[in-house]
Amino acid sequence: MSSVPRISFLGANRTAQLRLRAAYARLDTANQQVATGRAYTRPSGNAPAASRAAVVQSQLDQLDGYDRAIDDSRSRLSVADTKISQAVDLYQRIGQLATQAASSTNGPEALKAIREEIVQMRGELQAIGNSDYLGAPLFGGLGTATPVTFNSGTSTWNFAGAPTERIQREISTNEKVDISITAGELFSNSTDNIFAVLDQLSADLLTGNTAGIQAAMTKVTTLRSSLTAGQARIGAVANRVENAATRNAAFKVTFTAELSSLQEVDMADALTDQNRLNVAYQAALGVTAKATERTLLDWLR
Amino acid sequence: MSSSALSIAVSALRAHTYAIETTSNNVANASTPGYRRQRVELKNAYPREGALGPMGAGVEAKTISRATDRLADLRVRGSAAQAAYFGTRAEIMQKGEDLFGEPDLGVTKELTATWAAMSTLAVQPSDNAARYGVLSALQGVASRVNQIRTGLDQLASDATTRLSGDITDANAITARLAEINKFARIPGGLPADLADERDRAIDTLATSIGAVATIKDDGRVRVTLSGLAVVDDENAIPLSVSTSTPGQVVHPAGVVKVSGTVGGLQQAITGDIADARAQLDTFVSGFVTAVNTLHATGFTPSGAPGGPLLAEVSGQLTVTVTQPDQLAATDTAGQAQNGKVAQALGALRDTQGAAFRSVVTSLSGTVAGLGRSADTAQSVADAASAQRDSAVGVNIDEEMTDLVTQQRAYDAAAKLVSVIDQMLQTLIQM
Repeated sequence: MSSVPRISFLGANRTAQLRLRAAYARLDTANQQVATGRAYTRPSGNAPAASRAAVVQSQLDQLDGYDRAIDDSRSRLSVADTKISQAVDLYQRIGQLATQAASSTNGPEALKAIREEIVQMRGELQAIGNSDYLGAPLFGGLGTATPVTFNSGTSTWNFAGAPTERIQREISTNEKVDISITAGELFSNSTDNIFAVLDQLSADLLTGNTAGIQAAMTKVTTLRSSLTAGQARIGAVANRVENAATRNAAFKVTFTAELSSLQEVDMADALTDQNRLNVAYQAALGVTAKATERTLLDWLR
Repeated sequence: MSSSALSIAVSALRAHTYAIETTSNNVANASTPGYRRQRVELKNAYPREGALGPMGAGVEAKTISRATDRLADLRVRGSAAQAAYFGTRAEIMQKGEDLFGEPDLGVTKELTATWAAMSTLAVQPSDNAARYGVLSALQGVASRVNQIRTGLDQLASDATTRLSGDITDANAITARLAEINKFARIPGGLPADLADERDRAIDTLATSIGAVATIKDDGRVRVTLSGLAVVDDENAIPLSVSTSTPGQVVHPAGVVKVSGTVGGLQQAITGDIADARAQLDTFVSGFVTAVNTLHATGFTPSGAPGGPLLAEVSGQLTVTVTQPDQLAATDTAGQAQNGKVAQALGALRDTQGAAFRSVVTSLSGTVAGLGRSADTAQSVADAASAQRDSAVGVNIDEEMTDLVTQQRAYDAAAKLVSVIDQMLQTLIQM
């Protein structure tokens, strides 16, 4: 016979059904994409993209972790800075009072008044040294012991927490900063500490020992540099934290954009595709209906 | 003269009546799946000796033949077995992928919560709420992991049940085929409609177990599975499922290799599901070791060294630490504000997060690959099946033209009878 292939009623029907099914499946995928906004709904829908998206998501999660560390560092550093500024003001006032006391024009009453104020300020400095942050000492290193204490047995001032004990925060990839400073670092140097100096100063004020008062003035000035050095370090760390925050925010924008391009469909594309596939499906339905509607029976009379 | 002409006309009337009946049967079965168009084979009758030598003696309806296409049958069965093999695996592993629930409802989400809780604890090492946060996040990981494991086991056991059900069905079909083989002995050979049933049964067997059939000239079928007969003449040899090795199909003569749906189930049980489960288990044991090793370097608020934080108890991941003050967040005893161990635990995100991602990527890669193979195999099978339908099925236009021919032939034969009648009348009136 001829080379035209034979088509049976059932075969033609099945082929038409398969074509319609395929057209409908494509339309369904497009509908899903438009409805969910997702390019794929399960990882196997696009395994490479899903795998990359998981990596990017994990980077974003990590940035969230850095943000938590940055928030904590910021408030801790700002509290420390305020406290140290208060201490710097007190040092200044102590310097003024000592200068006033060193001039020989003061009578014993005036010296006594100055001493009273000095004792008050020592207490204030001790309170600053023992400040709390969220229930734990701010200047106490890693432990919870009270940072500045007076041992009446040995008559010495003690500082809790070694200078090496610093609270660290990871604020960005492989970037760790020390966000704490100990009372020992702030209020003492290799030879003196402010509390002992103030004790000695008040004793000298009682006896009117001008030479002692002058010596105390020098020591307070020297000790003040430890305090300002500490404040400078806190400020430098705060700067680094801010820089890291800016950088992390920029990374976040990049990663979020990448995640969106990996997971989400381009709505304009998706809607155009959906429309096109819908038209194609309608056309397939129409053509199938037309093609299967007629047989020779319609023409035989 | 006239009597033989009359008998010739009657043979034509009879033969075309059969032909019209068969056409009518074809039209009636135009949409019956597996029906193959039938034809009355017409043959001129054996000539009789006449005055002028051998003369034609009319037409005979010899047999009803059935359209066959052995090559198309082979293609349909081979491709159906492949399609069922990949389709079954893809279907099962998609369920497996659903169990993981990535990326929104899976272990990744619980792990993320864990790293976040760890980093919160690192910032607030002395905060009890942060400690509870870590414990509940770890419990989230454990319960999600255990759910997936139970789900995978359930998936494997469902597949095993389905497999033995399919083998039972296959045995019923082979028994029926052995019975059909008996009809081949009746005179006139295997009736066309039984042959249709036989072919449908062979199609089903090919799809379910990948059996191969050879049809003999008399219509009897021999069905084999990896070279061992399951239908041999009038005997069916039942298959069984091994009780010792999961998913193994056993023939009395030995273990057989199956394909089709059962082959897919077998591969899903022993390969796909088992692989996913093994990868998950490897991740879990790595996770437990990594977390416990780090935790052991830390100290609790009371200064005690960190004990095991996680454990695998009879195949279930459990959080051993139940009290927040048993969590070891600091790396130096007594340093309440030191959260270095918690921070290190949070940094496990990099290694353990990647380890779990590779479990998911490997699974989704498998599912995607199976899906593609299944789609390809299915479209090959659909095409083969549509092609065979076209080759052996009913075309109504053809039937209608046949009907026109047959009707006209019948009309003409009837006309002959009336002409002979007139001739006889003329003779009688003489």
